[in-house]
Amino acid sequence: MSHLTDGQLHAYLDGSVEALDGATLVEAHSHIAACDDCSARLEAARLVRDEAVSLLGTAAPSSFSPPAFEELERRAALVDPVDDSAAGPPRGRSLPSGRNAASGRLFRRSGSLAWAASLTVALTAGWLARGTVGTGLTERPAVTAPSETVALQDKQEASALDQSVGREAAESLEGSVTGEGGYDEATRRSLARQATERSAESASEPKEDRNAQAAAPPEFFAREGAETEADADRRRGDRLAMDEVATETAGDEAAPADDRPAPVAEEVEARRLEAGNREQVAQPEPQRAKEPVLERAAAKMAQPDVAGRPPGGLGAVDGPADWQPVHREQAEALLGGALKTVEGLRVLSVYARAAGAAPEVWTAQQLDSGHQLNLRQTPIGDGRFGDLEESGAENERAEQAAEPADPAAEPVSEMEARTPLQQAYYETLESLLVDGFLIEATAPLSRDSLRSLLSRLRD
Amino acid sequence: MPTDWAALYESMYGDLVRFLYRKVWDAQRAEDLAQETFVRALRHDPDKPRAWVFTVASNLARDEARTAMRQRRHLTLIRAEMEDDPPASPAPSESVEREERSAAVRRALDALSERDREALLLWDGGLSYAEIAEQTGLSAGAVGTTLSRARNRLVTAYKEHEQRNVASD
Repeated sequence: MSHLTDGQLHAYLDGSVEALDGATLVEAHSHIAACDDCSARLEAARLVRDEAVSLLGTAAPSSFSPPAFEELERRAALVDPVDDSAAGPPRGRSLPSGRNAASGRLFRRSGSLAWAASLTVALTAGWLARGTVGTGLTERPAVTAPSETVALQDKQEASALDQSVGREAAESLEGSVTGEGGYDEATRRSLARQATERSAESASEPKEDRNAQAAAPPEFFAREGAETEADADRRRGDRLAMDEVATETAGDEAAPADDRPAPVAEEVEARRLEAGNREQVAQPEPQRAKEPVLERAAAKMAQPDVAGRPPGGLGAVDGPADWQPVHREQAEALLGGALKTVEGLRVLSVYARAAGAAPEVWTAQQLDSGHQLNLRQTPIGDGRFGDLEESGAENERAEQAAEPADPAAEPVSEMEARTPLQQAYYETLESLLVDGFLIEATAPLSRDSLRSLLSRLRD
Repeated sequence: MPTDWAALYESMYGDLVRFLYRKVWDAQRAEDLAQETFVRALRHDPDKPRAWVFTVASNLARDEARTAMRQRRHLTLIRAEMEDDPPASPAPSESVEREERSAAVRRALDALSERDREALLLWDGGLSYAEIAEQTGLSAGAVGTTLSRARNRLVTAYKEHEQRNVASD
């Protein structure tokens, strides 16, 4: 027999009868006994093997506590037996291209609808807020020349400023409006923006009842007057854009009153009648183009911000704010399966996002204590284990993405972004796999309580 | 003959947790995945339970890597739990030493190719050459060669790391 290969030596060491059948094993044994070279190599291989075993032994948990087997049996019995494809080895998370495309279309459509709706809400809130602050508002006519309306707008803002930041500033602004003051255009607009922002805040604050919003169904796209927390966040985050729309397009006579929400049109009409033929102080100014302003405002609102962020819990501090409120049916269409919720708990809201190739759905349910249970559901996919090279590369990419090489450049983690109280309060997290979905649940509960709740997960 | 899952669970749990730990590097998560693997196995009752369990565990670990960012919460929690339970934790110096050694082994394992690493971890998990061959797609004869290469690379990479550390000190 020729010299043994390294592979044969290791198989010999490991006593592998598969690699070395009976006859070969005997022959190898005889050869090693007779060959000094192979005998020395065998000893070297033994040292390497033992050292590798020792090293691997250090890369292990210091201790672990297996649950009772009966506990696993109970968990296994919680969900009905599933078919082979679901119960078998999990596969990659890549989704059929058709479903991805459908998801993308839905998100694109939902996104544009959301922005259009939020723009409408923002404009409505801005107009209504103007009617509640300051006394000069009643003097505004519904239809004036562009320059007149801009001047009137500034005067109204001056009144608002009078209420909030002091009479002196308001008088100065008034002077600038009438051409008597020393403020330049930029200063005047800055002061006007402050005034508008304050008025918008005063109008929006009473609507931000967290409980009421959390309990509201996620019918964001369908509602016009109602306001969710996401709306409020979006409006706060985009206040600058809204202010520009409010201040620069307030006098856009190109927009007929009929285009505005009905209450606003009525209010404007009432003010017009009340104002009569009162003269307005007007400075000749070039007419501002409406479309660029709206486009600019829309572009600002389209930037990543807090819009669509799920209220509280995971979503409040978790990851990019690209969640969108969806209906349950939409969520199930995205997931390609049933949305899992805890039976007996009221569903507060459902949000979804497409995280890479896989959709994720976030569901908030109300606990009896008044706190919130957050469920994040995502499909675990259908890849095969066999393609190790590919999966390895994916793993490495994922790990590299998860662990930046430079700690200084590492973004603040979700937990680090929370206060100690939030960490202690929110973070009981439990993960489980049900019917091909990875479900992560968080709630301010003990682990046992959370697991007990999750045993009631249903479609 | 039906599988005695209770006995299999008792004999395999430790191996499976260690196998998973070397993939996710999170003790609590490794245990969670091991339990989930057994839960699935109980539902499915496969014909080749050991191989099936390691296949599922490997796939779960792969999925785990894809959601590694989210699972960083667990690391923070585990650290917090360790701080809350000082009697059970080793002395600080021992803990640091262990962590450093574990990190060095992790780096050495990362130096291996995916196939070599998988074969090595499966062997350390107690799988036979035939089972490793089935899992990795290698022939039974090639498993010995793969293991030989993997062991040598692991030891070499670890020593190189140690030498770099000594040189930097």
